[in-house]
Formats: sequence, C-alpha cells, structure tokens
Amino acid sequence: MQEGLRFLAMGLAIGLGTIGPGVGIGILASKAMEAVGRNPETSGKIQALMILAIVFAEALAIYALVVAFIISGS
Amino acid sequence: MNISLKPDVIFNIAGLGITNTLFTSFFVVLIIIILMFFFRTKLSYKKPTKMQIVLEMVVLSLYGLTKDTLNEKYARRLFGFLFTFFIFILISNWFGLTPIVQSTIINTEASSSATETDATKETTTNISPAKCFNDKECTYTLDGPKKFEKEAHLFRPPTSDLSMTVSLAAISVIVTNIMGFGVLKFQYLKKYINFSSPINFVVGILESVSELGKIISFSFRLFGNVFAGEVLLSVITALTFGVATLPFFLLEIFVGALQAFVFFILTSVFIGLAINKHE
Repeated sequence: MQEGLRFLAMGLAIGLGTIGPGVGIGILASKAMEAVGRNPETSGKIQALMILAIVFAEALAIYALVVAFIISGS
Repeated sequence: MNISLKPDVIFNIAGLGITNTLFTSFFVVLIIIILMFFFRTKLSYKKPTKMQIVLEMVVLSLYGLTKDTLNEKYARRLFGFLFTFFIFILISNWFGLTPIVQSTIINTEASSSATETDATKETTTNISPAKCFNDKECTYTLDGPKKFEKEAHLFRPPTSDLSMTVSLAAISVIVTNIMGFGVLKFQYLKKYINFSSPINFVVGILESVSELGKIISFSFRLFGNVFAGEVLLSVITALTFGVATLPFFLLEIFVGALQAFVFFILTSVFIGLAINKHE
C-alpha cells in the first residue's frame, strides 16, 4: 500500500505541477508573438526577453520534478 | 538502472571524500584551460580561422547583452566573471553527453546505509581486521573481514550535483550584493530596510527573503534541468537504442546551452538591478 501511494504521489506531483507553467508559457509566448507581429524590428530584444521570462516559468515545473524525484528516492 | 540524487564517493583524499561529480569538474576545468591555451595561440587579426569567428560571435553577442543590462564601465569589469559562469556550466553540461560518462565504472565503498537499491551489486574485498571499525562497513565471513563495495560511475556531470549548483547560485547572489554595496555604499541598505512608510518596510523584508529565494531558484533550475536530462537519457537508452535516442541528445544539447545562457543573463540582470540607484 505504501509503495502504491508513493507512486501515486510521484505522478500527482509532476502531473499537477506542470499545468501552471504550461499555461503560463503559452500565454507568454503568444503575447511575445503578438508583439513581434506589431513591431518586427525589435524582434531580437523581444526574443531575448521572452526566453528570460519562459525560463522563470519553467523553473516552477522543474521544482515539481525535483519533488517527484525526492519522493521516489526516500 | 542506477538513479541517485546523491553522487557516489569514489575515493578519499586525506579523509575528504571525492565524489564523481567533483572529479568530473576537475576534468571540465582542465578542458577549459586546454581550449583556452589552444585558441590563444591561433588568434590572428588579418586572417581569422573559422573557429575564431564563431568564438568571437559568441563572446561579442554576450558582451552586447551585458552592456545592455549593466553600465558600460561595470560591463567591462564584470564580463570575465559572468562569462566564466557561462563557459563552466556549458562545458560541464555538454560533458554529460559524451560517451565517457555512463561507461566507466569503478568499484567503490558502499556507504554505511546499505539499502536495498544499493545492495544490488555488492562485491567484497579482503581487508585486514584492524581496518574494520564497525559492522556497517565490513562483514565478517569465514575467510576474514570483507568490505562492502558497489559499482559507481567514475564520471558524472558536475552540475547534476545539488552541492555544485547551490555553490554557484550562492556565489552569484553574494557577488550581486557585494557589487550593490560597492557601488551604492550604504544606500544599498535602503533596499532592505526602509523606514519611510509601513508598506515600504514590509516590502524591504520581502526583498531580503526573496534573496534567499533567488539562491534556491537558481540552484534548482540548473540542477533540475541537468539531473532530469540525465535521468531521461538513461531511461531512453534503456528502452530504445541507436538512432531513436538522437532527438533526446539534441534536446539535451539545447537545454544545456540554454541553462548556461540563462544563468549568465539572470546574474547580469540582477547585478544591473542592484547597482542602479533607486528613484
């Protein structure tokens, strides 16, 4: 029973933990595309800022993954 | 399949255990020094080689980014420090993709907590009775005392070790604060302790908590990406073989370079925020 609950906890941790960052990255990327569409000359700057912001959002998904590994390890 | 968050200790020098990630980081630094000397002798102004053009592109674009986020004078001073982060993390991430990493195996002492997962491959060697201090390290058999051993990888990418990434993150955040103090002198404390209004006081306290949050987020971002990539690669090579593992290696190359770039640019952005005067 304990092993089964552990696997369930791992799955839930990584599964639910990726919903938020997924939606967040989608919103970020769509706004960035819109901004580039309006103003194609600053596309270099917008791309750099978009990557920076996506990495922040991605870090939260990585936290969830690390928690899943910790649950599996101990 | 041997996935462990904790790196294995491969040998001891003067009582300190050298883990396989630390051992790999020696090799990474050695590679960087060799590349540095090699390219230094081949620099030429009139007829640049292709490698020189590529390296100049990389270095100049990164320098342009630091000039955007920091002032000109500080960009020139700090670019060496920031580029060191970039190249160390880049080479150590990419080192984890070479075939040498998963292949070389060495027999090391098993740690005292011999759990079920560790005890899968245990061999024993003879040791003299005087060296056997407690029952967890050695077992008494009819042939004499024998030590527990297990197989461990000799190389492991250094950034997949949480100790290494926490150290890099701590260096980055501490240097940010030192630069803030150095440029703004005591006005830098106004960022954290601000008595002008009650809300600003609470904001100051939250700022100091978020500095700790920065260390955690830097370290876990880098650790999570590299460790998860390592696990992914070992799972994929266990399931499929040959050409089917190629997309995952390409993903890992991209993720490794991107994480190095992100560490670089986040550090430079935070230093830029710290040395700007508050209005």
